[in-house]
Amino acid sequence: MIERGETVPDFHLETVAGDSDTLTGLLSDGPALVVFVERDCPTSRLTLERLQPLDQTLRSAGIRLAAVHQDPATTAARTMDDCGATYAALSEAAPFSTSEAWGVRSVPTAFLVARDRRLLGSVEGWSRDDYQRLVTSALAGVGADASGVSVSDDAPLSKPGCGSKNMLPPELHSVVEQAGHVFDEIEDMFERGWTDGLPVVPPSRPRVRRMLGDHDGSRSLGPVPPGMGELTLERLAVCAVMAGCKPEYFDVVLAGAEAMLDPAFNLHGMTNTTHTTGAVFIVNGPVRARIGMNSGINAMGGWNRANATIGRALRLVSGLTGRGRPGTLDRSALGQPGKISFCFAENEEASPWEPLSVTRGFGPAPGSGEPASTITVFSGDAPFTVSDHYSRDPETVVKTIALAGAASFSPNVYPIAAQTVFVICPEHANTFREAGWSKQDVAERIFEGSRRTVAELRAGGGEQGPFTAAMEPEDSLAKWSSPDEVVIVVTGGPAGRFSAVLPPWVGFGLGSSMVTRPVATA
Amino acid sequence: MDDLISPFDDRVVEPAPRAGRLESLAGRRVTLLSISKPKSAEFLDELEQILTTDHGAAVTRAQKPTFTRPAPGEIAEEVIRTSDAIVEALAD
Repeated sequence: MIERGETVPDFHLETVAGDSDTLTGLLSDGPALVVFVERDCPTSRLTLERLQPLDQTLRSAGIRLAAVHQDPATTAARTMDDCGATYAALSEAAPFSTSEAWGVRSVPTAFLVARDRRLLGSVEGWSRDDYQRLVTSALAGVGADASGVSVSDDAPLSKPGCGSKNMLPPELHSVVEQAGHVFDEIEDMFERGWTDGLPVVPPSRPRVRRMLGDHDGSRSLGPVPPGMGELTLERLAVCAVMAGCKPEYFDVVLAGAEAMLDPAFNLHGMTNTTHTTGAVFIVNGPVRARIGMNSGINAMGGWNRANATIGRALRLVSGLTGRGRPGTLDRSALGQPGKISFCFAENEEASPWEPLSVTRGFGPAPGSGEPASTITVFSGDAPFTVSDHYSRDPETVVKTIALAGAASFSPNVYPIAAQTVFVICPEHANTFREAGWSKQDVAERIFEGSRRTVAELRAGGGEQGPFTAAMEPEDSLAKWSSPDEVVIVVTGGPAGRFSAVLPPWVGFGLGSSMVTRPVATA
Repeated sequence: MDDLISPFDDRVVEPAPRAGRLESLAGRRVTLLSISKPKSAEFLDELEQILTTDHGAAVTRAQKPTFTRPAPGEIAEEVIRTSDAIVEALAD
C-alpha cells in the first residue's frame, strides 16, 4: 500500500451521476478523503453510512469526500442510496487498476490525499478512533476547527474489512463482474419469504431509519394476530419500506396499524377465515392531498404510490409480523386481489356529504380547526361494481345500488347484520345532490330497497340465514339490521355512472367492526 | 445482505410438550368442542355416537361462543380441567 508522504496516482473514473471525474478534479479546492468500497462488504456499507454526517463539515473546510466503488455505476448508486450517502461516488470496473495502483488490499480503505496528491494518512476497515484521528488531522491541516467533530461511536467501534477485488486473480474478475447476477437482493427477499408474492424493497437499516423519522422504533403496538408477533414501530417501518412507502406515508401506516389491531376489527378471525375478506383502508382529510393519494380516476385500483403501498404495508404486517400467510394461518378459500393491497382516499371534493371521518365522529383537529385526517379499516370483499347509466332520478339509482348490495355475502342470507360499504361514484353522488338527499336518506333507501319477502328468499334456495325459518312467507326482511350498517363513501373519477359495493364478512357482532383512527398531523 | 431488519418477531417460543396418549377411550372423559359453525352439531352428534357406543367414552360437549374469534380462556381451561381427551371440530 502507498505510504504516507508518497504521491498517489491520478485516476479517471465513471461517476454514479453518469459522467466522469479525476482525482485531480476532486483535489481542485483542497484535500480529498477517498474511500474504496464494494457493495457486498458490510464494513464498506457501514463506513459509507457513518461518513455521511461528516460530509458537510469536510466540504465546508474545502475537503472533498468521495467513494470509489468496486462495482458497476448502477450498483454503486444503489449502495449509496441504501446507505443514505450523498457525497461523490465513482465506479471502478475490472481489472480494478486504480485499486491496484493505490495498493488497496481490503475494503473499505480510506486515503486522505493532499492537493499535491501526497498521501496524508489512511485507514483500513472501520475503526472509529482511526477515522476520528484522520478526520481531525484533515481539518487541522486546512486550518479548520476540528474540536466539535465526532465520528460515529455506534457499535461496532471497529470492524475488519473484506478482500479487495483487485487482490483476486485476474481470471476471477469476470466471475466478480457477474456477482451482481449471482446475488440479487430482490431474489434474496423471495428466498427469505419476506414477500407477498411481489418484489419488495429490502429493509436495510438506513431505509428503516428514514421511514421511522423521529418515531421510537422500540415502541410496541402489541401483538399482531393470528401469529401474535409483536409489532414494534421498527417492524412497522420495515413493512412500510418493503411495501415501497415513502417516509411521509408513515403516520398514515401507523394509524392504520392501530386501527387494524383494535380488537373490534378482529384481525384474528378475518385472517383465519375461509371467507375471501381482506382489510380495506379508507383515508380521509387533508393528509390525502399532502401525501398525494388518489381519490379520482381508478381510485380503488392502485397505480398510485401512496394508495398502493399503504395498503400493502399493512397487509405485510398481518401476513409477516402476524404470520397470517395464505395456506398457514390465512385459510381463505379463494382470496381476492385486495389481499395484496386495498387502500383508497375518499373523494371529499366530489361528495355532497360530510366525509366518512366526520360520520365516524372525527371533527376538526383541536387548535388548528383543520378537518381531521383519519384512516378507517373495514373487513371487506373486492368491489362489486354496479352500473346505472340510464336512471336520472335518485329513486331508481338507489334501487339499482340496493339490489347489488342485497347480493352481499350470499343472495338469500337475510339479514347479514354487518356494516357494508357502498362506494358512490361522483356522477351518482351528483344525482343525489341535485335531489337534495342526505347521506342518511341514501342509506335508508338502500336499506329499504334491499327488502325481500320470506317467500322470495325461500324460493331462492341454497344458503339462508336462520331467521326466515320461523317467519311467515309474506313477512319481509331488509338485508341489514339497520340503515346504520349502510356505510357510504364517495370516490372515483368524474365520468362513469359506476358505483360499487364492498361486501362484508360475518355480521351480528361476531365478525369485524369498522375502526377509524386519527392520523397524526405533522 | 446481513444488515436487513426482519419484519418477523423471531423470538423462539418453546413448544408445549405433547399430552400423553390414552391407551383406551373406555370410561374416559372426552370433550367434543364445537367452534359454533353451522351444522357442526349434526357432525358432532355422529361422532359422539361412535365414541360412546363403539369405544365406551364418557362424552361431554363444549362450545365456543363464535367461530370468528379465539375461545375465551375460561372455556379452554374448563375443557382441559374436565377432560382426558378433546376433539376440537374446526370449520368447513
